[in-house]
Amino acid sequence: MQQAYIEPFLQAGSEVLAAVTGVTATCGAVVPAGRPLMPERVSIVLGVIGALQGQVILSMSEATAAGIAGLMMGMEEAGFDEMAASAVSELGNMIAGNAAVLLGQSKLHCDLTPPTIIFGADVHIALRVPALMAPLTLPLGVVEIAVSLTEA
Amino acid sequence: MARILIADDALFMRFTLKRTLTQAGHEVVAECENGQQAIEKYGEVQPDLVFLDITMPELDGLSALHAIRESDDAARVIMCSALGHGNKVREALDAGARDFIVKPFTPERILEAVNKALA
Repeated sequence: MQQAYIEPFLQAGSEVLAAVTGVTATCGAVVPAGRPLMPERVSIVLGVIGALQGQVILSMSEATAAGIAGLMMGMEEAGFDEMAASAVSELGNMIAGNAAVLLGQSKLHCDLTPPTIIFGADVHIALRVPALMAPLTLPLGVVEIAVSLTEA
Repeated sequence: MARILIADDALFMRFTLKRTLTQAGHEVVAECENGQQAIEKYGEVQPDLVFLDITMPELDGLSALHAIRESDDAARVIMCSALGHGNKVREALDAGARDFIVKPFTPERILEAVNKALA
C-alpha cells in the first residue's frame, strides 16, 4: 500500500515545485528508505492524521534549499537564512497539502500538522512504519520525498 | 487601494503576500502570526480586507473567520491555505469568506480575489 500512498506526494511535489520555481522536476524511482532514515542537511517533517497516519519528510542539501527559496521569493539567493527556512517549510506544507487533496479524492481524508524544520548533519529519524522514498531532481539539486504512512 | 490585514504563521507567506499587495498599490496595515492576533488586530485597525491562513498555532484561521464575522458581519475575508479540502472550503464559504485560495498561488490569483472582494 505504501506505493499507493507515496504517488500523490510525488505528483503534488512535481506540480508544486514547477509552480513555485518555474522549473520542472524529474521524478526518480521509488525505493525503500533506510532505517533509520538519514536525510540530507535540511529536512522538513510533516505529520499526517486522519484516514492515514504517519510522517512525510522532504530533505535536501543546504544549497538546494537556498536555491529553491531564492526562486520562490524571486530573488538572488542569500544563503540559508530564516526567510529561506520559512520558504522551504511552506514548500513542504504546499506539497503535503496538495497531496492530501489528491488522497481525499481516493476517499482517504487526511489533515496535516504544521511543518517542523530540522537542520543539521548526521540526523537519524526513527520511523514507526518503514518509509518509501523517491528523488525529485531539479537543475539546482535534488529534493527527496520520504513517506511513512499507515491506515488508521 | 485597500487597507489589508494578513494572518499567516509562515514568515515567507507574509512576505510574498505583502509584496504582491503593496506592489498593486494596497497597504498592509497589520501582519499576524495566528488567529487570536488576527481577531485582536481586526478590532484595532479595522481593515478593508483580511487574508487568513487556516493551519496556524494558538487559534486556526476558520475559528478566527467565525469570530471576525461575528464581530463585524460586513467583514471581507479571503482564506488562503495549502489544504484545499472540499469540506474546509465549504465551511469557510458558509461562514462568509469571500474566496478560498489554495497555495501555491500566483500574484494574479491574489489580485483577482482582492478586486472581487472589494467590488
